[in-house]
Amino acid sequence: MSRLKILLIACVVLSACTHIRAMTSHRYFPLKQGNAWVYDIKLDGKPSGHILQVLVSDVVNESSGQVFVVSEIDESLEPHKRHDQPTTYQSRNTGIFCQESGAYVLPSSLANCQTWQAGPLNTAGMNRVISVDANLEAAGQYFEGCLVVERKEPQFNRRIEFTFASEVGLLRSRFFKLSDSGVTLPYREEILIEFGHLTPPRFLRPPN
Amino acid sequence: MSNVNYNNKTVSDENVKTVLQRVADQLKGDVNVFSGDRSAVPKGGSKTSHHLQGRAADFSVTGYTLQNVFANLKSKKSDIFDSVKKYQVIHHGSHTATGGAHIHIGRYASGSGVSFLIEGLTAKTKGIYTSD
Repeated sequence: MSRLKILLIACVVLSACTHIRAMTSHRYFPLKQGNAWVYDIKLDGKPSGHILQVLVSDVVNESSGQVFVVSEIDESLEPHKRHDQPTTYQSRNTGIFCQESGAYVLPSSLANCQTWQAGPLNTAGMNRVISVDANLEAAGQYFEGCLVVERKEPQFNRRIEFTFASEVGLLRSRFFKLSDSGVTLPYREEILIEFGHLTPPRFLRPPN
Repeated sequence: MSNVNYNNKTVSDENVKTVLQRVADQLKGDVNVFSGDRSAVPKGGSKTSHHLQGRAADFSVTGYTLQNVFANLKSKKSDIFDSVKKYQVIHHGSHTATGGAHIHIGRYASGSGVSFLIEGLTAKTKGIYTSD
């Protein structure tokens, strides 16, 4: 390959990776008390008949700032196997921070190919923006300009793909087994089927 | 002297274990742990459980209702919790979306202070965590 071709390819890659959308993370992860989402769960490509419900149930003022308490019920898990704690997030100038994982879910500025750690330890895995202009149909709507983040978690031997839509939040999560070829079908998929805002905060569907 | 009965469960975090012993000492009742470290890889998105990180315990205290335990943890907060660590205390009521009513204590990897949350004390709050 000629030097010119290599230079051209490098320029194209560099150009694609520096397409910055400044300060967008807060739009892609709207934390407002009463915001609620319902996801349909597919396992091994088939409908499971179960849903995952997520709700911003409270906002707490702590010394480090406002903390958003996010409740989750995964109805594909038996009650005794469900997590018995919520996830807590902070909306910081530097991005959306998850207190439990000790890492940013989304940093404030997002660019294609951008990477950041999924946790404070090197073993926690890495997040990487793989698209800032994806399209996806969910909850009966067609969303354009979606953000897609890939997380590789070697310790769990899995790769997760998160698709976010502006002002709506997480549209889809797809879980893959890590493989050398990288070509696998998702063993689990959670896709948004309903979202809204309820006051006082409550799940959109009565939980089982 | 009151004890912490681990019932063959493991709680890896020394800070959480110290807190459990202080609960037993302050309340003068045996602490019965029925869940500690968990290793199962979650099927879903969340892997942020303090149990998975070895920093949480679910328990009750002999001679006390869960409501009383929770109230004591709040009123004796400075005697039970280290001020330089960050803890989360949750009272799961009889309508909990989890396996059954219990008190959960988890420790964050960083930060300081104690947050108190309730879940499932009524049918309407099943699965809904709010501050108390």
